[in-house]
Amino acid sequence: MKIGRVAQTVVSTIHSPVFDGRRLLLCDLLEPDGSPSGGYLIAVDTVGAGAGETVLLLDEGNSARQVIGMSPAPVRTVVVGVIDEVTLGG
Amino acid sequence: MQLARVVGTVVATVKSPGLDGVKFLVIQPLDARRQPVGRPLVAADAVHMAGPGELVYFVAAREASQALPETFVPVDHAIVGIVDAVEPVGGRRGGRGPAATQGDGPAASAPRGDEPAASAPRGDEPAAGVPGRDEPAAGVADRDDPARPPTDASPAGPGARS
Repeated sequence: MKIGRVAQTVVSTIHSPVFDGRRLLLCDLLEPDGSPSGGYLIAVDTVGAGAGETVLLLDEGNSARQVIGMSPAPVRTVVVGVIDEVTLGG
Repeated sequence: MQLARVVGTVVATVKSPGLDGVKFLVIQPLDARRQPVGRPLVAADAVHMAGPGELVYFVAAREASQALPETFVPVDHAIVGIVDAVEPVGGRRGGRGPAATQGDGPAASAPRGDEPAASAPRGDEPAAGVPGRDEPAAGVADRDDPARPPTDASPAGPGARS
């Protein structure tokens, strides 16, 4: 899984049916120390994450479909948690 | 999933079995600031409505094939949505429902293409009317609700494209 920060939301009217009624969050990817790694992912929100929150991103298809509860579905990236704290070396 | 700009079309007459009827587009992946990143690639158009110039999002790897009617096909990138807007996230955790960005309209539950809002605002956009669009916006609106002028839904459209 990856660590990200919710940056923006992607609004889309025309999309695959799996995205009906779902919220897409554009999340900047972070290093474990919290610094931006430069990349980003658009993820389906399943936890109600808000702006600027640090989130746990799942980036694997089978698990994503399990979380979404729909199969087959063209979904690979899902926000599965809001991170309170990351401790390194401790 | 990532953002991309549609930059071209691909026509292939001879294709692997299962790819009949699948439209392929050349897309340029974009970074979070909508700047090109990496090399262009060919993606299947799973929404059937994307055209050159449009901002889309795509899914990569094995999940791409699951966007298509036939799911066990050799496809590794698929366009799964057309972007109306990339905007700030509203509210804090739990303050906004899963369907908040579009839940007020029937678009959230209606099949795509049957909802005037899905196509009417797009008529104002520069990409509307590009070759390859399957459904003219006017035709969709007429079929669904002739009495409703496209301008009714236009507030949702302007400003959507960055």
